[in-house]
Amino acid sequence: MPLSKFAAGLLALGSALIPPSLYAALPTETVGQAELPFPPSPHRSYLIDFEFDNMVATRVVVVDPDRQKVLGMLSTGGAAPAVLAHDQKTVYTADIFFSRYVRGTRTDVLTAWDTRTLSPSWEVEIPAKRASTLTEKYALSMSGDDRFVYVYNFTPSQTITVVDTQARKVASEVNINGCILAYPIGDRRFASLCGSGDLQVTTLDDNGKVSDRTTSKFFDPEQEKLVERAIHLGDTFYFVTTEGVIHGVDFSGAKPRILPTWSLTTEQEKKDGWAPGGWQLMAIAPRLNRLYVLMHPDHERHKWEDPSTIIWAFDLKTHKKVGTLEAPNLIWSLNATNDDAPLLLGTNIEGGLETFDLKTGKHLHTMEGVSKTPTLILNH
Amino acid sequence: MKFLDRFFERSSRHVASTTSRRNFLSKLGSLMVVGTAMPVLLPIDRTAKALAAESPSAGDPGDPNSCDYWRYCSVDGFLCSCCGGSVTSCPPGTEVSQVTWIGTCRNPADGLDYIISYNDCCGKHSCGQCACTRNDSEEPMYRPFNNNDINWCLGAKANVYNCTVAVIRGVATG
Repeated sequence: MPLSKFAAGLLALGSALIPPSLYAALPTETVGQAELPFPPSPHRSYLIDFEFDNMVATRVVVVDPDRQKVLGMLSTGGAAPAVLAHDQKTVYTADIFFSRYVRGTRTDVLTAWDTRTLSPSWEVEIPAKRASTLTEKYALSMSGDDRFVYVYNFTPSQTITVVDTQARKVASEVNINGCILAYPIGDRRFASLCGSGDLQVTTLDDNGKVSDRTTSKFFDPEQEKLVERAIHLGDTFYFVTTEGVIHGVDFSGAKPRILPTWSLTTEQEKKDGWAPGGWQLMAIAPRLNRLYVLMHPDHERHKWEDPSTIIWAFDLKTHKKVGTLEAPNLIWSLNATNDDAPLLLGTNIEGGLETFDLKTGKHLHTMEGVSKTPTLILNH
Repeated sequence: MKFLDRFFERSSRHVASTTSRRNFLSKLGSLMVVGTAMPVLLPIDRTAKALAAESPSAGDPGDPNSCDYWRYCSVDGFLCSCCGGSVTSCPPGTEVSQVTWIGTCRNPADGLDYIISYNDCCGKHSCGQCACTRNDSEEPMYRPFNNNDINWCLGAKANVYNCTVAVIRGVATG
């Protein structure tokens, strides 16, 4: 038998043993490494996960709410707050690490993460004073030109660490005793909310050092409780009282301009027990000029941080209520995207993400179990 | 966090099986002042030496492992009595925070208001047992000493929160 016929016979025998397939064998592969597109989709969302059952090894989960897809995550230290740079290239976290996980030498760092690779680009050690609280939106903020990052410290002495992102070093530590947080204003100022009811505005020079400081009366803390978890549109910040009165302040001028207060509720609604509640309980969709507030109908004094399924929408120009949104699960924190087709995003108390289309006011879907104990949502 | 109060109480008293919700409820062992009591910052740790009932008695009724126990009226975190410690002792290997909150709780047995300090035990990560939040009043964070969203392991070597004890410091007057 010629060799070729023998080979053909073997092949035929072999073929008979292998089930016939409609497909060619798959090619060999190499391991890849995913990267995220730049610029990011305007709907990309960063969920700050406090991880109550750990609070040491924590995370920021990056998701695409349109595709209901997890895009990746950042591993953070000690329930780090996070802030997105305006250039969309960097997300900063203020981490606390111990050399032996829960003991040993404490090191606080500001970590700069690349939004494309979700890897650290650089870090700088900061004073080991970063506030350890439930994640506050304005506990980590940055200047309008992305030059300086402001880190809120609580030891319980209150200061702000100013980090120069250009020089990649600490520029200064600003004493704000009696006041909290850094509400960023323009390129070189930040405001802090004081226990006295004042607003303290700190102005920095181009080296990140204090060049001016002013104090203005804002509200009476003996008369009302103002939730410190404000929301801003440009240089105007909106605070809400636990009873549902909006206190706005416009920081665009040389001195803060306190805006006339207005109520989220009518007299009847108030009588019916409607009041705001939640953690990051307010969001603004800038292109719609609308404010969204988590509301509950059974208000009592102690419920000001309660979650809710109900969100009221207000026109920021007329202050009129323009709609109600309802989620299938209790939401604790809100954020809205900044684009022309905005989404309203809410973290539910089971760790899921609720998504609403703000053009239609419709609830689109719930991404269940995408995080554990999310406290804040950030969007570019 | 007030929602934790409400939800935890619901879950502990009525729907204890909702474990996923309960998981969400574990939080910072931060403490707050109830009612009109003035906040007091205690610079000295006396927890280990504190004398208090470790088991229910006629004068100190209730179960120290239950969130309903009277002196947990302002607790916010994991109960150390469920974590290897007791109502007045930190679990083995944890460190008492030097800085704490004071609350005032009414003892149903004698009707007296007691000053309770809620020291956090620190240096190990979240205990995860017996999450309990029962705060009835809280001020925003610009009044930090009346705010319960802060981790009060500030006074410990490592600000890593494990659980909270509830120690009688005296009878409230006035």
